[in-house]
Amino acid sequence: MTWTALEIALMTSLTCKVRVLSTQQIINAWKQEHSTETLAFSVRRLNAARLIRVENWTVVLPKVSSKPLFTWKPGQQQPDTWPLSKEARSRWNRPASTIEVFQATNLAGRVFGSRSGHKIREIERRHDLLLSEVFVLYRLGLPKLADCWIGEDALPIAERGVKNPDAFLVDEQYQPRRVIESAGSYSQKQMDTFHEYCRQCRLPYELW
Amino acid sequence: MNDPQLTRLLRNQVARYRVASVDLLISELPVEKRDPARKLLKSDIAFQTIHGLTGGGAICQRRRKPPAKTVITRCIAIHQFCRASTIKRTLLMKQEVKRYFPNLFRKGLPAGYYVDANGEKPVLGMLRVDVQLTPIRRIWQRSVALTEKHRTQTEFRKLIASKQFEITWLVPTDSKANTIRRVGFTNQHASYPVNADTIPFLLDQLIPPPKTLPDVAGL
Repeated sequence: MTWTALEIALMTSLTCKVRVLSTQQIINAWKQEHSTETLAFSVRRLNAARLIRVENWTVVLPKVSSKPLFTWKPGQQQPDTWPLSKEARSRWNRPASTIEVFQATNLAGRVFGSRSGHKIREIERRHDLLLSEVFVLYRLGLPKLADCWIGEDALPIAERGVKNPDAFLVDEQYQPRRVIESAGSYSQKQMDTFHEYCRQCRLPYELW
Repeated sequence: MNDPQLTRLLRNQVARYRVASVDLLISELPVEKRDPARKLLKSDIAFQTIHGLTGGGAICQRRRKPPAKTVITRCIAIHQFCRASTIKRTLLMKQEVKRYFPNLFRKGLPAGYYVDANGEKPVLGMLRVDVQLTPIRRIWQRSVALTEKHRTQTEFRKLIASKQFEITWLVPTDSKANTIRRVGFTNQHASYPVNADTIPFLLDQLIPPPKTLPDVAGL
C-alpha cells in the first residue's frame, strides 16, 4: 500500500502552505474531487502515521469575503492603516465555537520540507485559521495560483526583527510575485510594519 | 547477447548499485532478454533476492548477512535516480573515478559520484540520499560544507566554476525538493551547486502507510 495523491496534497498543504486546517476547511477545499468518507479515511491514515495531529480549539471562526480587505502594488499610495485596522479587529466580535483542527507534526515537516510541528499559540489561532480560509478560497477559485502558494514555514527564517509575510505566490524561478497576509486583528502599527516591508521589497500584496 | 553476457551484464549492474530494483534492471534490457534475465536473477547463486519492499523486489550480491534496511533504501533510491528517469546517469564505481578522473581521485574519496552526460558538457555529481529525513537547514549546512571541501581541490574548483559539478539530494517528496531548490535561489546560497530530485519510493519506505487505523481523528 502506498500514500495516495490526496494524502500527499493534504500534507503538502499543511506543511508548506498553511499551518492548520479545520475539518470544514478540508471538506470545502477537496469536496470537488473527493467524498467526505475518502477524506476521513486519509486523515485517519495520516494521523496513524504521526504526520498530523488533531486538536480541539474554541475560537471565533473567521469570516472571509471573496475579496481581500485591501490590496496594494508598487507605485500606489500608502494606505490609511487606521480604518483598515479597525475593520480587521471588528470582524471578531462574535461568539466562539469549538472546532476540530489538524496540524502537521515535526516529522511531517522533515518529510515535506518545512519547519512545521511547533505549537500554535492561542493568540495566533484566529490569524492562522483566517489564512487557511484564504488558501481554501484560492484552491477553489484559482487552483493554479494555489499551487504557487508558499507558506511561512516553508521559507527560510527572516533575520531577527524582520517581518516574515504569511505566504508568497511565487513564479517558476521561485521569485515572489505577490504576498498574502492574514490581517487577523492587526493593530495599526502591525499594518504599517507589514506595508513597509512590502514597499521596500517592491512586492504587491493582498491583506485579508 | 548470450547467457554469459547477460549474466555478466546483470552482475555488473548489481555490483555497481549494490542493491538494485529488479523491475528497473529488467526494463533496461531488450524485450527478448527480459524473461531469461528474470530466471537468471532467481537461479544464479551470485544474487540474493530482497523481499518486503514496496514497488517490486530488489536484488543484491549474495552475502552472509543481508544489507541493512537503510542501505537497501539508499541504494534503490540511487538506482532509480540514475536509471528510472528519461535522463540516464551512471553511478561511478571507485575504480572508474580513478580511471576516468585521475586528477580528482584521492584516498578516502566518498562513494556516490555519478556522471550525467546528457547535457552539452558532462556533469559530475555527488549523491546524498535523505534517509534520515534531515531538516532543510541541516541539508543546506551539509551541502555548503561539502561544496567548500570540494573547492579545496583545484580540479573540483574548475568543475564548479564551469558548472560541471553538483550535489544532488534525493528526497521523498516534491515539496521537499522544491524547498531545497528555493533556498538555493536566495543570494546567500546562489553560488552553491545544490540540486534536489524526488524519489517517491523513499516516502513509502521511510514513512510506511499504516496497516491498521485507530478510531480517533475523523472528519
